[in-house]
Amino acid sequence: MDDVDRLFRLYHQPLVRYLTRRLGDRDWAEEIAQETFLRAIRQPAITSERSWLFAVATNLVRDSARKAQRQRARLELLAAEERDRVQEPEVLSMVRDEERAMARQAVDALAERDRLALLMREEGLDYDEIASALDIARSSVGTTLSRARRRLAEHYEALQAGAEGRDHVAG
Amino acid sequence: MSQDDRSNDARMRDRADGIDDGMIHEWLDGELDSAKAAELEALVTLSPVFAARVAEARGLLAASSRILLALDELPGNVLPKATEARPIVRPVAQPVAHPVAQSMARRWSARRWTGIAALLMVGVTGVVIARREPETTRLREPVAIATDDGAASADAARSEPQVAATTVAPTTAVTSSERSREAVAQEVRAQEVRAQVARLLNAAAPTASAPASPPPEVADRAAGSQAKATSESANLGTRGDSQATRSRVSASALRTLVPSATGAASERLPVAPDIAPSDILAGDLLLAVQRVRCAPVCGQLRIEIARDGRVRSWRQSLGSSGSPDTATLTERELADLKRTVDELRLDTLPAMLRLDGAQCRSVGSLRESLRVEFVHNDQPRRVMGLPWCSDGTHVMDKAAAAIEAAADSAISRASGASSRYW
Repeated sequence: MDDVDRLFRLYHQPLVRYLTRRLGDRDWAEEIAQETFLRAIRQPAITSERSWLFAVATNLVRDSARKAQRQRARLELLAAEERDRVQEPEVLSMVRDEERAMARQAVDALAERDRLALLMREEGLDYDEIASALDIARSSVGTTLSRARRRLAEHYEALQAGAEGRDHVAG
Repeated sequence: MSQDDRSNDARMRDRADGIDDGMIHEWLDGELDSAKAAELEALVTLSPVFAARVAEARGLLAASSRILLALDELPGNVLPKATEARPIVRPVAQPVAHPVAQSMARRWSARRWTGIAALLMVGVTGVVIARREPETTRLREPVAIATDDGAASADAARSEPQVAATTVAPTTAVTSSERSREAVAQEVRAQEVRAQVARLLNAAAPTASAPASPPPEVADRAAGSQAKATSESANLGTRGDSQATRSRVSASALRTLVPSATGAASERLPVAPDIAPSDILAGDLLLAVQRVRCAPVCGQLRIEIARDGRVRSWRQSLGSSGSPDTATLTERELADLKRTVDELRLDTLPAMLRLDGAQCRSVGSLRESLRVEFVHNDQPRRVMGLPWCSDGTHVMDKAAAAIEAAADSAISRASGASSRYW
């Protein structure tokens, strides 16, 4: 049980952040993270903890894809409630929403492997862990990340240029 | 250079050409073994082309981190601790007894990072400038009503503070029973802003360029506004006011908020209020002007306008021939903006004492953010900048001292350019 506590303290936050970025919703991410840790409890031995947790979480995301529609509807409701509860100054909120939406679009535009490698790297996984979690060769991690970062930046920049163009048109 | 040296260089260049982006990222990620890392480090010094590739990779690395950060609900480590202790003058104390206002205050406190975002985003200050709208529209918009009153009341308060107080009260009495609690809370905040602006204007009057007593036309206008307010409050529960009156308030407020560097007079300026975004939004039109800089070469004046809760912005590059988008502004509004920008006196800002790169979030090759603060009479003043940049330089990788030095020259380059903004 102590080991589970340690795992949770060490990896819960980065895992939830990874999943939130992956899924676009924190509640959903929390659910997946909980399930991941439940599985960790049931697992007799884990050799590479971090890569194991991220790999399991990634697989759980895939498994839950079919539930996505139902989840989304529910989460949109929750998000709406949250917006009602914590209302930001509208302008700030709009700017942030726009940035977040663009970031989300840019991330979603990546190939799945690129996206996962990038998100895992952002959570501090080293190349060996990423290779293990994604079941790819260690030597290809650098190339994967390089491609992911470039495409992400390009997508985002294109979206931003489009938004700025609209700003100018709309004033 | 010997033939051996030349052949070594050629070999290194060939080697650099043979290194793919994946290995560069592996190196930057600290995943390359020490021997290869040393080799790449040497290549950077020998091959400018390779160095550029590395710089680009750094930019992409930072960019991706920044973009992913936007996906998080709350960005981490962006809240400067010093902000909490700052003697910021808020626009009058929050009304403790008002539950809605308390709730807003709690939300604001809980999300102070939004204030930081605002500091980065909004820049110098925001002021209310009128927009010509049909009176029927104003009647349906409680916030706009409060704002209209606010601008006029502030102006009236500048000349006759006791009169301004009386013009606000009837509006509140009429509207509080009719509007939602949220609208009332917004109105309370708008009134606070009005009061603060009035206080500032009064305090600034002996020192700023505005005369201590209002010129006759202002007094007349204030008196007219009061009469009009009283009359229309009785009949309609609200009123509009002239664009010119509000513009005067805006310009005066800006003079107060942006200290002049022209001499002793500026030293007696009151501490600028830290106008929160929500306060700025009390206006139906806000103007925020930022002087921005990019490293290493570009500079922009970024102007943001929010009207009816929608941000409209345009940017003018320093020295650029491009013209700002003024499509949504009437000629009169544009004239007001021009005047306001001129009165900001961007070329006379006091020397910056602090550049806080640590609070910035780089978007790598896409954007660079730099938070700029300055201090006047030992008091922190507004944060000045959100530089935008597309040159791929990742400024934030550099040491803070280098940023500080670069900023001084950037500001120098930018100064005196305000006449070209329009």
